[in-house]
Amino acid sequence: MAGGCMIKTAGHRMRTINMSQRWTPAQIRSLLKGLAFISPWIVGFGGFVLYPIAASAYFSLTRYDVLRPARFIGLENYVELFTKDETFRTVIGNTVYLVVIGVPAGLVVAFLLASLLNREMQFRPLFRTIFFLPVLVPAVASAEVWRWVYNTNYGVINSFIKSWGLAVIPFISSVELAKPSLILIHVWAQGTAIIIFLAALQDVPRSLMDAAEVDGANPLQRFWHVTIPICTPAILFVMLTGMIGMFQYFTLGWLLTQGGPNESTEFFSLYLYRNAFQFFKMGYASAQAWILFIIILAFTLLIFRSSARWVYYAGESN
Amino acid sequence: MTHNTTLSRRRFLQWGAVGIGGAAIAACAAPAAPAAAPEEAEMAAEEVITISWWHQWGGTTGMAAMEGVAAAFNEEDRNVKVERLHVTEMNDKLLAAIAGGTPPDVGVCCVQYAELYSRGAVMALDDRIDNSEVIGRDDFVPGLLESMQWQGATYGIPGFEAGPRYGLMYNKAIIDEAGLDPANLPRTWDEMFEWHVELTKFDDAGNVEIVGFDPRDATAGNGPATNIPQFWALTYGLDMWDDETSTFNYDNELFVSALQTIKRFTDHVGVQQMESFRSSFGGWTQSPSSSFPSGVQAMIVTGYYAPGELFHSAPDKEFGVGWVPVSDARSEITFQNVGGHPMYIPNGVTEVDAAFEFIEFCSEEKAQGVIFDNTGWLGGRKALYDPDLPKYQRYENLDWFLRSVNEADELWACPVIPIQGFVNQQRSRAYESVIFGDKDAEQAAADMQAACTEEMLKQFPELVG
Repeated sequence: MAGGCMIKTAGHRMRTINMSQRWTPAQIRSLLKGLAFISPWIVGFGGFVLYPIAASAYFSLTRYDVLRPARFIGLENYVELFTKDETFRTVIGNTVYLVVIGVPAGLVVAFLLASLLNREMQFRPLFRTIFFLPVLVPAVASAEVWRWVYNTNYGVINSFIKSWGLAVIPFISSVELAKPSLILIHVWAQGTAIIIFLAALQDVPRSLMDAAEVDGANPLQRFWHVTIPICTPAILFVMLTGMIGMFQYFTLGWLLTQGGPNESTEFFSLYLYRNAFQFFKMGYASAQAWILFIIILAFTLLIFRSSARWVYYAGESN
Repeated sequence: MTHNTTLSRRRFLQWGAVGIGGAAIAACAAPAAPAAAPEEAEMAAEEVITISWWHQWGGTTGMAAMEGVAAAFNEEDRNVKVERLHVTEMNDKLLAAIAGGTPPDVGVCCVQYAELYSRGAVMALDDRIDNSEVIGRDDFVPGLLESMQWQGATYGIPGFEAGPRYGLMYNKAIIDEAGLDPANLPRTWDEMFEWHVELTKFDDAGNVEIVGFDPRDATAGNGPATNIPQFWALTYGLDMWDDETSTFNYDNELFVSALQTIKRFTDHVGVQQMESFRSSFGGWTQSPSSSFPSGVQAMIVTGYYAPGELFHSAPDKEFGVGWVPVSDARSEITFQNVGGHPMYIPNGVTEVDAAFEFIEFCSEEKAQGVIFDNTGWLGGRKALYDPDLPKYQRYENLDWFLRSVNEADELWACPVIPIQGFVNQQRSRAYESVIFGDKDAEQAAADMQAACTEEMLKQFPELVG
């Protein structure tokens, strides 16, 4: 349609605006006013989001250490990451482990806790507060607390174990246990997910539960066939945000294990940071950032595509 | 014709804007200056220059020292004043500040110096040293100024913390209890291993209670960097970096032997036990909860600052010190290294004279006294390396470290490797891959050599010869 475009309005009716028509001075003034009002956002978005994204895309094709001019090397950084860098393979494995085990674990625990907190019980507000508290604790403080919980000599768990004359559990100093130990901390801090699930659970229609009960469904069947399907949009949301956050996991890994022992907790963001600031390889780190973006995008699309099969939206006709 | 006397909203806003703009312009205009008095003119000629100084050292003693130095400088009759800023994660922040054109005038600790020198991020100070009446090239302990040079230019001045890095410190009570003779400290790694076996204790469940020696604690486990070289290379007599050709020398028998020794010490405790021990207690000597100060580790390889730190962290314990062990082939040799943190001026700084004046002040006796009194650190000036000075008797064993610089058969300088951060990571990988059994020592050494060489070729192809 030359010179015009179709605008879909709220009532699904179409109207056509002829773009070839000259703008009136009033329209131009109105446009300028609008742009002036959103200019802080435009400047911020351009300067702090768009430009860094474009710059990192360019730097990913260069050898760049910040202090000397960037040197264009094409796709060499990407080729090296996938073909030569042994640590990168370890890092991918560690991060995928964290996502594949950690996200579902956090999700299941959060959903079960939310279900419990949704029941009529004594001190319910107190329990809700207790489960949300870890979210309010700064990451550094959490790390320090868990460092002492996991400590093999003075930790609360290992002191108890030692007092029974048993061998201690090397939570974060064992190649095998370090990742599960970090996942346990992640599961502990599921307060936000619990709040989201609580809101979803309170939206489960009483009528559906009653109908299921009348049909002879026991509590487990009602939970499985009514509660969970109604909550699937919330589950999808928590899964997506959890997955994205887990791929970017940094703080606790950095504070508690520094990537060790033997690189067993060297995650994607840690290695990216090392390359950028410790090895002065900003171009290489930029390439990693783009790979991380593509991985997250792929996982997001995968989950979105699959969601058509398992997410139930009450408003949909089919 | 009617004359409208009302003021529309648009007109009001327009006139309002004109008024505010005019007021702003008027405010920006310089006030009319009264005729300057002669004294004021003189003061203007000696305008006070304020420079910024970043340091990463914190903690109670470190902060007291930094504050003390700034106060001592500012109370002097100078037209330069210093503003101190404690900066954590300084490497990242300094990098961003230099790239953004807003670096501090002076920096000290704890960045990757070699990377900054080799990439032209800090200023060469040779002309200023040569013209200085305070700093001379021969004023410092040999090797120290060399560790702050790259391609013939000097980029840093020793100021706050510089001194000998290697002494074998031991806990007297643990050694006595094991019936070992501290007058005959182990000289070779075989002898050291025998002590390690004697001193390491387990409980009935197999949990380690006392570790004899951790081969990766303190200065033994660090480097190579401009302030700490790589202990396990030096102890085997290996010069792992060639300045002339910018090449590494890891893939050889000496380094393989060093890796095997690290594994041997670790295996006796158990790699898992050793990792747990390390993560449970922490290392070095500053914190009272670290393994050596808390009396659960018998021996440690560490530097001259340890006596001062142990004075505070383990006041109820007694320690001794002696030469660090070496390989069998070097059993008659004693060696020492002097390394330290430079003071430097980033490129882009405009008040260079003022910045250098502050650096000169920090390297002198007054500032050095403030630093030593608060932390026990030395600045690297030869004149202050007199072990018999009364103030050095405050910390037991400090005099041994000071004497060792003159008495050692070999005095090594720290290497300036322009990819030291990368090499450090490779060192850590090599040690861990061997002790965890992922690779044998030969493979780890070969891999480290290959990785470091390849990285050097990527980042500085013009230097590799």
